[in-house]
Amino acid sequence: MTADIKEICRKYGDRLYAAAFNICRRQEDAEDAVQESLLRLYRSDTDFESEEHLKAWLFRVTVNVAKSTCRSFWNRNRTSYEEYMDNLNFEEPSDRTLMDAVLRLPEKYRIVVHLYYYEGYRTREIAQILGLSENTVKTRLSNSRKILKKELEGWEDEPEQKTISKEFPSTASLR
Amino acid sequence: MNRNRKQYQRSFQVLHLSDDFPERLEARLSEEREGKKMNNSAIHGFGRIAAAIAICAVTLGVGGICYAADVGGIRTKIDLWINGEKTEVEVEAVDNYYSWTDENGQGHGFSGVNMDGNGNEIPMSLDELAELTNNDCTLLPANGRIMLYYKNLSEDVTDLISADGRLRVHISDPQNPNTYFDFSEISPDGEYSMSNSDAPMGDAAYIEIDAGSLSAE
Repeated sequence: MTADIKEICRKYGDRLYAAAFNICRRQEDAEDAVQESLLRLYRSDTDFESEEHLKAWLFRVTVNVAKSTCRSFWNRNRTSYEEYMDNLNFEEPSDRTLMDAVLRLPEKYRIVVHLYYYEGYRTREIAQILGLSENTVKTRLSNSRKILKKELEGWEDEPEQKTISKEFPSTASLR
Repeated sequence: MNRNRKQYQRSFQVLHLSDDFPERLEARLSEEREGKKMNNSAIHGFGRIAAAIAICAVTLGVGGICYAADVGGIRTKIDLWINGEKTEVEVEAVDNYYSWTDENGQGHGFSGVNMDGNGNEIPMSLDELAELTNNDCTLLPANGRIMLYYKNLSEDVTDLISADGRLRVHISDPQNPNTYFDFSEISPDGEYSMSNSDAPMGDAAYIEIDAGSLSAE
């Protein structure tokens, strides 16, 4: 199993890290979240039906662990990620601007945006991973797009998927 | 692929794990393999009940010292085995973290989670945490000797510890399936590592601790 974990880390490690960083916005916390997720996989006796099932499980656990980490007392006010971004090799200056704009979105929007645009998950799949209704995911995606459209020059309009729910701020997000 | 997605992926693909991450992961996996669930050196000096609580925190992967302050949560009385005596403590619950103060004014606390098949964390109830803590076995130095505590049992195990600081004991407790305790790296001042299981690990011999006086509670 250890060999499998290493292989899974090689295959998905960077993607899990990107998702965790999207939430934590701190390299150390994001890496801790990925490590904890892989350890939980090692301890888990879950019978995965497919590679997709495994991947979705990993994202769900990583997101949960990352949320717990960044909501802890010690991390609530430690969100400086600009210095870390200075050391990243962005292809274009606009890539940094985009990442910065995404990382300034509310946390509950960020992870939805990331799973949609980076991982290519559909809203229904994101809803399953995050344990939300699909309408909530669509609402968060729609709100995020509006913010990004205002913030980024090159952000294109996309057709909105019609939703019927109205979302109110959760208690957790108000902490 | 639409332009937004393309640029998003180009932007975030610069994020990579550190070069030494695989090495650190391997180290943690080695620890898992060895079954070292607790390194007591980190909590040495806090006394037996603190050790029991730390086992919960380490084994279950959840801590919450930041919530230990008295912030007006719900108070509940529970029974915990402390140094061989069943002791009633009044715990305060805040955000699934339970804390109390002992008669010496020392603060203690615990929390924990179970995981379902989808990796969701489900906070453990106070009863679950109390059961876990009460099924724990600990060592504590006293007057130059090493005492073993399990529920109402207390045994001087100093002479049973091997030269390399190892002690494997089995306590017949029908109420607890995990009563094979493996202590290692035991030092005279009470530091040790411990893991437990529901069966002997490998071919190792376990010393039977007389459970004749074990409380049925």
